[in-house]
Amino acid sequence: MRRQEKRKKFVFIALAILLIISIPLCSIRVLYASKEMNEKDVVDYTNVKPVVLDRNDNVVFENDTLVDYTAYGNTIGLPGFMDNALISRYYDELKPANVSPIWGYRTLEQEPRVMETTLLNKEMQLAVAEAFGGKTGCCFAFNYETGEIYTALSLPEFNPNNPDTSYINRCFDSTFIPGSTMKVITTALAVDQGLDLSSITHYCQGYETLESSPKPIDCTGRHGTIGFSDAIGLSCNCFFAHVASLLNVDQALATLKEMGFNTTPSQEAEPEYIDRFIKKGSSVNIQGNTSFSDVWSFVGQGEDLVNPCDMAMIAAAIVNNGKTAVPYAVEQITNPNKKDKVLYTIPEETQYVNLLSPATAKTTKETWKAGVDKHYYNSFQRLSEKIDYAKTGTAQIDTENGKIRNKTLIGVIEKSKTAFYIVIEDFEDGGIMPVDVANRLAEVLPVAQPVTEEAAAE
Amino acid sequence: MTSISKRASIYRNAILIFVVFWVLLLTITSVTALKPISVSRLEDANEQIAEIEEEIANGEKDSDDFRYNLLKERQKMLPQREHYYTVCMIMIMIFIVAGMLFQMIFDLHFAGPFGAFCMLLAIGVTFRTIYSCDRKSVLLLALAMCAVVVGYFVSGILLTRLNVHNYSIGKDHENNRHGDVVSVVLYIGCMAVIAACLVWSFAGGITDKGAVTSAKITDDASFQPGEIIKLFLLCMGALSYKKLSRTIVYFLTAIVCCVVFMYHHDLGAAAILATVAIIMLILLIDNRNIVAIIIVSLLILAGLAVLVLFAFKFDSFTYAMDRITNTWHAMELENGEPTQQGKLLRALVFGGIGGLGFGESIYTINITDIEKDMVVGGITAVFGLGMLVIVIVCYLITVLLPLLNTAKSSLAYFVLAQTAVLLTVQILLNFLGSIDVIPFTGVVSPILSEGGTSLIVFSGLYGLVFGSLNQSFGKLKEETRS
Repeated sequence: MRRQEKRKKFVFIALAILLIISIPLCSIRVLYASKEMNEKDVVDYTNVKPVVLDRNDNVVFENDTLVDYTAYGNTIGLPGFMDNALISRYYDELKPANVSPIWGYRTLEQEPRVMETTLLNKEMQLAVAEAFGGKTGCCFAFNYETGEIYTALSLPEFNPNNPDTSYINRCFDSTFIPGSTMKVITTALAVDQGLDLSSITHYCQGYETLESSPKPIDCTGRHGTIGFSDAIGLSCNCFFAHVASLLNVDQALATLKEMGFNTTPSQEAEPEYIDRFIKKGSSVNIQGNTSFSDVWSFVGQGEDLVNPCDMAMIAAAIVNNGKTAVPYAVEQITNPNKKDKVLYTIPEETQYVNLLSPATAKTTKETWKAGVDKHYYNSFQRLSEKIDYAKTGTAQIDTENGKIRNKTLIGVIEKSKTAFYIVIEDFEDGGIMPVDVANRLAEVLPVAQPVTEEAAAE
Repeated sequence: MTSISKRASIYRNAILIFVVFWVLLLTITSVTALKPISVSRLEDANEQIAEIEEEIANGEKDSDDFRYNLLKERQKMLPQREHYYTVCMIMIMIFIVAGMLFQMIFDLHFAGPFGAFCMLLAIGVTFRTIYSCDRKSVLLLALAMCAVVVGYFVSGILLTRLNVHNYSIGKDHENNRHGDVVSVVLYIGCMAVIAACLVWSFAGGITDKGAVTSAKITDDASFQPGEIIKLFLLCMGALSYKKLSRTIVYFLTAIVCCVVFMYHHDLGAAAILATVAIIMLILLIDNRNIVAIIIVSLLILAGLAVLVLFAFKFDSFTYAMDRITNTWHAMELENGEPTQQGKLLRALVFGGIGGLGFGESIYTINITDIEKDMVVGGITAVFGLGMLVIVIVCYLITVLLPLLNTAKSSLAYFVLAQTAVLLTVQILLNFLGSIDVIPFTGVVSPILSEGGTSLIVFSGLYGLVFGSLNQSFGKLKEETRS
């Protein structure tokens, strides 16, 4: 009997141990499972998905769908498709809170989190996109006093329903040969080095010979004796080739570095950001000022590669005393489930960056404005009077299918405090010009609100 | 003494009255909660059926489409679901009241385990109703209740017929020819049933999800040989006490059954039988030398059997290894879809300690076999941790309480011991397997899981347990008193 009782106890204890061991094991497994669960599980359960608003508080992204892919496809994107777009870059703030293994679904958020952006509304974005006339390209425009990005349009647009869709935003992910838009920067370099712009003249015979190269620098025309303003307005390559020879290269490279250029492109650059967009950095590969390639670099061809955001910021700095607000697209992200708790917001004070000295900016601005006033408001350039500063560029690019031309435009609209950079790829004669896009942009842009006195004083 | 007995009787009745009210409360709550869900699910089903019918009309789908037929069945079942559920619950309440009266009249002592069993029955019916409840459910419940009654009386008759001294623990063995003959006949009968089930599993075995767990009776009906084998092997074990030859035959039968289950890829059933057999080995055999010889012989035999099995059907091994290596990875996606265990784990996390409730139970609707192989996890996910505690307590009361308190005869003792092991292992395999703690075995949870054979067999087994607790059957009662 005693033996049987002992064995009975053994069975009882064995079963009890099994049960007792299984309790913590089960708890650990469920807790582990809760850690493994991701936002997709939560979203699948609640069907609560983030909402994105434009600057007029219109909903532009809802239920994982954009109201218009042309307007916002490459800027806002879709989760899982576009990595370098707002939805993906801000997903940590936008994703709903994970489920608590203790209280379960009762603690899940019922309202979507809201991202407020500075982007123009759908109609305005589409108006600008329409001006591209179906061409590939991009348009980056932002308010240089507040930093609000109005548009970062990139075409062709990202559209998951289109098998040949583009998954990049050219404003951030691409760099372009600037063409003659570089001349604005070369002007700033000349001013920065103390050259007296008013005294510099040069005779343009339609080409410029170089001692170091049998190949001459071609010009857009035969301009004769020409000064700085006219050279900007007429985009005279010979004049800027001459200016290049006057520059101290080391000093020029230092200034370019301050402007945000990578002057040693052979070295891998640190990743750069605009808001949380990863931005491809601008670069120049200048070794001197005598070789064919180096001279072309100051003119805008050579080995220069510029990012549209960088160029817009440089334009902004030139017309805004050398400084510009740092661009941003997301104003704030709120969580309506917790009394509109702010999850992300821009700093109270506008963030500025100095790219040029105020004196350099002032002189460059005046010279640029003089050139624009004299040569851009005509039937050939077709620049709208709403645009105060502009410089066109044409970049020659060798491709597998022969040479193509990209058209670029850098400019500023003072009324709306907007700096912009526009690229139209694979330009054909008689086709849409970046100026047409800029004119449409000028029409739709909001009039800038005056900034606070403190900011203005600063 | 009389006052103590009366007081105990009052307590026993109070337990069953409490269970009746608990079941009543559960019924009212469930019917109230299920009605609106039925309406919305019916609307969904109607919409989906209309869509599929349109596709069938356009020639895009076949009228034999699996989903279409499933929806049609749902469309038919949902309007009557609460009606059949209420009938089931009333049946359970009547069953409890009948048990209470029976207990009062014959002064029996099974109130605790019987009440706990009825609670498990009610929980199982309520949970399964979320997915389906129809005429078949009512019929199965009625059969389960009949099985309890049959098991109870069979147990009583066995204890009466088999000499109590012959099978009593701690008493000297005395020859009793009548008892021996009966036990031999029963033993051989059990073996015959087991052999028939094994043969049937080969002859009419139905392969489902890679395993042969059921066998065909007619085109519309099947049964699970494994469940029946468990019951009769348990009886064989109980009848083997102090009989070495029977003990050896019992173990050989257990090994053969295990090998056959493994061959059929029913590793869960094989694991359960192996565990029960090992525990019985510990309980049954007194002489240590014999134990050693038997263990070594059995190990060699088992090793050979496994080797032969894998040599002929090597995929059994890879199948088992797949299950083992996939454990703790249920949350990882499989072809873009979470595994069934992963889905259940998600449901458990979303349920939290309070459970999903009837309203959110729709989240578990797409978990395959949640009402069968994952029932304990499913109940926890839907009704919360509280209900899991109730389920565990009920199982403990039905299994461990009798094991601790009664050992008036060896037959009763071994029935209870094996039942305790069988149920505990089965529940643990079901729950731990369903939430990915151990490899998934597809073992059902007794009484709670959907399934005809399992429900009826385990109800019969519970009947045996209740009968084993009973000390009032004529001869046994007298002998115990003397």
